[in-house]
Amino acid sequence: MAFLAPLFFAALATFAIPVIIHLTQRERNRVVEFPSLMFLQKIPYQSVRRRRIRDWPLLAMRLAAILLIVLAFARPFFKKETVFAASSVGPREVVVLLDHSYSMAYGDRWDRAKAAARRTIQALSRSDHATLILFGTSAQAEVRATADLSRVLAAVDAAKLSAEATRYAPGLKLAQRILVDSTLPSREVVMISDFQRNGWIRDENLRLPEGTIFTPVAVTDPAPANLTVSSVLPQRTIFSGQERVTVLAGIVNRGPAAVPNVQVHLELDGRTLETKTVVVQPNAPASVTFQPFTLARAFTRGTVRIGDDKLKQDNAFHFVMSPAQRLPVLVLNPPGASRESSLYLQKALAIGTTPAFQVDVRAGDNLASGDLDRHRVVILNDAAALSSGEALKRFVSSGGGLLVILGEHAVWGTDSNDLLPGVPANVVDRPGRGGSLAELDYSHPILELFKVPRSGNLSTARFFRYRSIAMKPEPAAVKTAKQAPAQRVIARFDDGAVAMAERTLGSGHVILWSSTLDNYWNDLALKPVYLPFVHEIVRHLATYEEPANWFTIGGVADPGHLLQAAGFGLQAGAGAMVLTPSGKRVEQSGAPTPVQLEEQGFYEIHGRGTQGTVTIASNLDTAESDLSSLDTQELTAALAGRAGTNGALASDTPVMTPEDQERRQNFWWYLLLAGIVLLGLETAISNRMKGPIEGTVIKPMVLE
Amino acid sequence: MEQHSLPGARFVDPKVLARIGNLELLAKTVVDGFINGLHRSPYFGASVDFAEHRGYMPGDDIRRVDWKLYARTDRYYLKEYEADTNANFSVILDISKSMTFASRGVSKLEYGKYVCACLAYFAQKQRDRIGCITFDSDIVTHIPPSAKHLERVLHTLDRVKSERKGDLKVPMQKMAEHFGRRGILLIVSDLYEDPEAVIDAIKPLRFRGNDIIVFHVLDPAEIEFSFDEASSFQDLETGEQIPVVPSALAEEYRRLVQEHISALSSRMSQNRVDYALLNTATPLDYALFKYLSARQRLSRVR
Repeated sequence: MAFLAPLFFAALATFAIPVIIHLTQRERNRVVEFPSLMFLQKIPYQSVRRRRIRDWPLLAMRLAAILLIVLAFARPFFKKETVFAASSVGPREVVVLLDHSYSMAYGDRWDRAKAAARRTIQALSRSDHATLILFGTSAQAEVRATADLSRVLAAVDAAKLSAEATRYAPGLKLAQRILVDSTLPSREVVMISDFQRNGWIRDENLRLPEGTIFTPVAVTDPAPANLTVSSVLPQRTIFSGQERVTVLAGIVNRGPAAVPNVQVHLELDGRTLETKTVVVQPNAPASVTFQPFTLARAFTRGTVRIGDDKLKQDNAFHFVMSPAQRLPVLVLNPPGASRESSLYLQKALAIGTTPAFQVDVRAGDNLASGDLDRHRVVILNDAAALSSGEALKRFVSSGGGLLVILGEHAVWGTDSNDLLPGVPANVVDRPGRGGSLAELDYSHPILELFKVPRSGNLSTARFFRYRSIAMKPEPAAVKTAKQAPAQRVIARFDDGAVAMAERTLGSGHVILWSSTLDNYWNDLALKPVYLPFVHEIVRHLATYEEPANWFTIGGVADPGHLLQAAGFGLQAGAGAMVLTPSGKRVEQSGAPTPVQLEEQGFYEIHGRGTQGTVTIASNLDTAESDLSSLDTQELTAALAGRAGTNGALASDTPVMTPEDQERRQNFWWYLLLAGIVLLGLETAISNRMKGPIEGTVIKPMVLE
Repeated sequence: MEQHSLPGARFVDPKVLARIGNLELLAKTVVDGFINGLHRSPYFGASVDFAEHRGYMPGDDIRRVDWKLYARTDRYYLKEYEADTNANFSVILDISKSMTFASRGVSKLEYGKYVCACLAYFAQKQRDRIGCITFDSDIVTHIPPSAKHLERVLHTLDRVKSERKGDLKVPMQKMAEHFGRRGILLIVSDLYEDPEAVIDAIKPLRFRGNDIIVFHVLDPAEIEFSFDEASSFQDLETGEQIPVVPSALAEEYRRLVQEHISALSSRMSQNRVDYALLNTATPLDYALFKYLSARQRLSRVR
């Protein structure tokens, strides 16, 4: 017999209460009003006689009732160590799910969890089969369905904490598969975890096989407190022509008490740049803004760090930043045209930080190969680059972007026409109020931004003149192969004429715009939507992606893509090498394949044959920092479903916590009931006895 | 109705009297019956009788000098008479909360009211001036003595209400300052104070030359302590409670009460204050008779 809350035995001091009631209740039964107590107060009372107890059975009943109620509150239960083996019929398939997410590093949870796993395995019989699954975001079976329990115990001893977050579904699915494959008559799942609420998604339709006993073993702490660096937001600003970065860090206190004087350090390339102190209120976030700093070099490693607490893993947040790269754009005006003929375009592209554009403007009808090498996007503003057709094709095929704006000067020959999605034809005049954009393909990346209502209306612009475009028919080979169409109409005018079309050529794109991008043939340039519209076109053509400052553990990083985005051209089949934060080298020969991020810190990616190294930061999933627990009964109920999981049998398992054992046995309920019944009985008897013993129960003189 | 073996007296149980709503009618019923039964009042014709001569003292009114005696003796003597029959008669009723106690239907306060009303009516018949004072821890109402104040006195007595705890010292002191002219003062109270404190409170009135009659009104339960069930006893005035087992302390209580009464009686007589214990169970006219008989005896002695 053990007690869950033995401190309640202190309440036995209340034994004095029935004694006092017993001794004093008669005097309190009736109040007699008397003119003056002058004489009564003069009479000394006899305290010895007052202590006489006449109704021993009544007193015994009262004391017994209190004892029963105190016992009920102390939550007694029987420890049953040996019932586990005896309770099952035949050999069992037992799957032990051990949570090794980083939240298990809180206090001594991991040691307790491993001890619980060991106890579970040691309680198995020789005929039982055991599986050990370590689960976090993913799950892997360390030892699978073996009768060699020493192997399983060794696997438990060898188990290490990961940097992953808690997700119950992968582990349970794996357990489900193992149990389904098992031929043993009994199946049991023992899940040892801190049962974080974030790890369970209700609509995960998980069901354990019929008859499976599911035993949750909660390794939790009462009122856990945890301080975490939840986010880092680097903001770029231009100050005196220099780019500066201001870091805003978010600190969250997930504990019940305020934490004063939290030291928040900003480290750059391993050196502490600044330290700030902040007070974080209970269950609340706080933010810290550091002084702006100038980025000296590419891939600067930054870390925001706070002091240690019970869960150290989430006290640092890493990020990587590089000085912003300007996106080179070449604007080619018709021969003889002034620089101002593309004024609106230049002004629109002069604004912007993600990315910033570097615009070169030229007039002519030809492009040098050097021009194309130096630029990511070429805009032919009413210019016909007839003589550069082949060079442009090569440029686009290798990933460049071409925007062709049709005006009255743009004349395209048949040799260059195959570069465009359609053939520019005659000029169409729309007198009066002009035409407008009517049919927009919002699924296209350029227009996706304007999809949501009140996020830019392109149909407000009036178009008074444009060139008609005859779209080329799709090649038959493409149609039969069900490939993505090489050309696509993105927007049409209200008369059905093509306004914007795209052709994909190799890894690049060509956009054909049938009107001007100034205020000559239309008033689009005067509308607020003009600026984002032009930015989106250029971004799309340059296949621009904002570089990520950090990745989250559990995600993947593509070394080839990262090297290419950083401007380090990777030779075909050269391979890459990835250096993990713990110093492990991962060699990749041939085309680099995505790497799963499993460690917290900075990964280095080296491309073979290139001089550059790309650094990426990898952070923990901060949702894991929230240590609030799930009700294990909720999980048990969800897993039971149709499978008929029998949680009651699990109460006999030795791995169950005292809380679980007590909850299953529920003795307190019977004790409380007995106490209440006894009190009721006592009241009835007391009332019946009251008459005959009136005035004879106690013979004190006066009680003060 | 209780019967007592006093000749010629018709005694009426106070519980029966309590059914008479009108206080004047009640007083009339009691006093008239009492007078008819008694045949002779000690006050009848005892008003302007010559008492004695005394020597002239500077400051004495020369109109009171007996000139005939001066002619005979060649000395100045003054004639002194018995007190005026048109005396000031004031009833002083304690209306503290302890007076509301009643174990037999008639509370001490009601009993006190009847006594005051009867004596006021009685005094009116004597052509005395009647006044009334009610007090608890302070003076509550005050009607100065007047031959026409019977109605007011009865009305005031009829309307008294107990609200506060009682105290003798303060109200008595105020009264002593107030009564300029000597008179007969009838104090009706349960005297729940130490006998010495009671005497100290009354003394100033006595020193002013007033004729003081103290009626000590007690309920039979206060005297006999006839409770049998162990209970919490609550002080009517302070609200204080103490648990009491009556069977165990009744004897001691009765002894203390008797000691208190005898102490009061002896200390009063030492100070020439007329004291009478009135039990609310005894008929009113019996109480009056008992008292007036005592008064009569006293007047003869003097």
